[in-house]
Amino acid sequence: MTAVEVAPRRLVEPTSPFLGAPAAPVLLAARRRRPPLVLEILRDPHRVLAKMDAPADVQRVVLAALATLVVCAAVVAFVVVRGDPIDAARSAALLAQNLLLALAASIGPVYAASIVLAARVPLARLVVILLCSTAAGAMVLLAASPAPWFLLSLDRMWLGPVGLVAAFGLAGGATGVRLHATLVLFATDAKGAALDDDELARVRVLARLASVIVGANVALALWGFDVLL
Amino acid sequence: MNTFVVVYLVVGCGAAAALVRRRRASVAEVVVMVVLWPFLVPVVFFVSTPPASDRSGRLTAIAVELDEAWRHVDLGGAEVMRAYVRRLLVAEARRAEVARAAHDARPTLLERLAPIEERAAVEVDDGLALLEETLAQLTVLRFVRTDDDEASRARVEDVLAQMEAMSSCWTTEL
Repeated sequence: MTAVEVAPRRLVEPTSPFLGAPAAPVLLAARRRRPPLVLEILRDPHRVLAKMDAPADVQRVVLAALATLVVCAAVVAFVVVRGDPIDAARSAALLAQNLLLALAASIGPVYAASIVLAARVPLARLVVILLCSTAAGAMVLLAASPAPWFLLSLDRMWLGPVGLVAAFGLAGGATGVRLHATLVLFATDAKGAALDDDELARVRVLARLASVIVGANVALALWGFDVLL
Repeated sequence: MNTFVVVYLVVGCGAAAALVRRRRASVAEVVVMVVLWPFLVPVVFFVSTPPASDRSGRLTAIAVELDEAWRHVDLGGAEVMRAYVRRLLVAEARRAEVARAAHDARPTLLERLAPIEERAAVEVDDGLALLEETLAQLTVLRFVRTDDDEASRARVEDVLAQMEAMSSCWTTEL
C-alpha cells in the first residue's frame, strides 16, 4: 500500500469586513523585530558606532549603558553581601553609586590623556565608549559573581576576598579589551582607512591609559567607601 | 547633607536649566539630567549634529539598513562600507556649506560656486546609488542561500572595490 502524502491544509478565514486586508508576508528588514538596545550595544561595538550619528540615539545609548551598570552592580553586591538584607541593599546602592562616581571622575582624565597623546576623542563619543565598555565589564562581573559568593561562604578571611578581587579583575580585563577594540574601531572608522603604525600605537596607549584610570578610580571608590566587605 | 551632594545637585540643576533653555525637555529628562549630569552634559551639549539635509538623512538611513543587512551575510568589508558612508557624509556637509556660501554670494562668485556644488551633489548622489545597489545585493544574498548567489556576492565585492578606490581618492582630496 502506497502512502499518500497529503499536504496539510491551511485553514484560511474568508476575508471579513471587520478584519481588513490580510497582512503581506514580512520580507523587509525594517519589519523584523530588532533586539533590545542594551543587547545591541553590549554585544557589538559596531552597533555602538552606528548609534553615534544621531544625538537622540547617543542619549539612549548612554542611558541604556548606565542602567546596565547600575543593575549589574546592584545585583552583584546583593549576591555577594550575605546576612542582613538591609546591609545587602545598602551595599548594592553604594556599589552602583560609587561605580558611577568613579566613571564620572574618569571622563576628564581620559579626555586629557587623549589630548596629550594627540589622539583626541570627541567628548560625547568618549563618554559613550567608556560607558558601553564598562557596561560590558559589569556584565562579566555579574556572570562571575557566583564564584566570590561561594568562596565567601567557605572562607571570609582569605578565599572570599581573593575571589572577589579576581572577579573584579576579570571584569576590569573585559572592560579593557572592549575599550581597546572600540577605540581602534572608532579611529579606523573616523579616518576611513587603516591606521598606520604610529596612530595605532597612540590609540593603544590611550586605551591602556583609559583602562588604568577607570580601574584605579573604581578601586579607590570601592575601597574608600568600604562598599562590599 | 554633605557639601559634595549639595554642589553636585546645584550643578545638576544648572545643567537641567541649560537643557530646558536649549530645547523643550520632559520632566523625566530634566530629572535624569539633574541626577546624571556628568554623563549627559557631554552627550547633550557637546555632540556634533550631522548636517540635516535630505541627502544626509537618506545617507544615515541607508547606512543603518546596510549595517543591519551586513550582519546577516557571511561577507567581509563592512569597514570599507562604513568608511565610505562617512566620507559621503563629509562630502554632503561640504556641499551644504558651499550651498550656504552661494546663497549670499555676489553673482560673479556664484558663477564659480554653482558648478562646485553641482559636482559635489553628483558625487553624493552617485555614492547613494552605489549604497542602494549594495543594499539590494545584500538583501538578495541574505534570502538566496544557494550556489547561484555567487553573482550577488561578486557584485558586492565589485562595489566594495569601487568604494575603496573612491575613498582613497577622497583621502587625497580632503
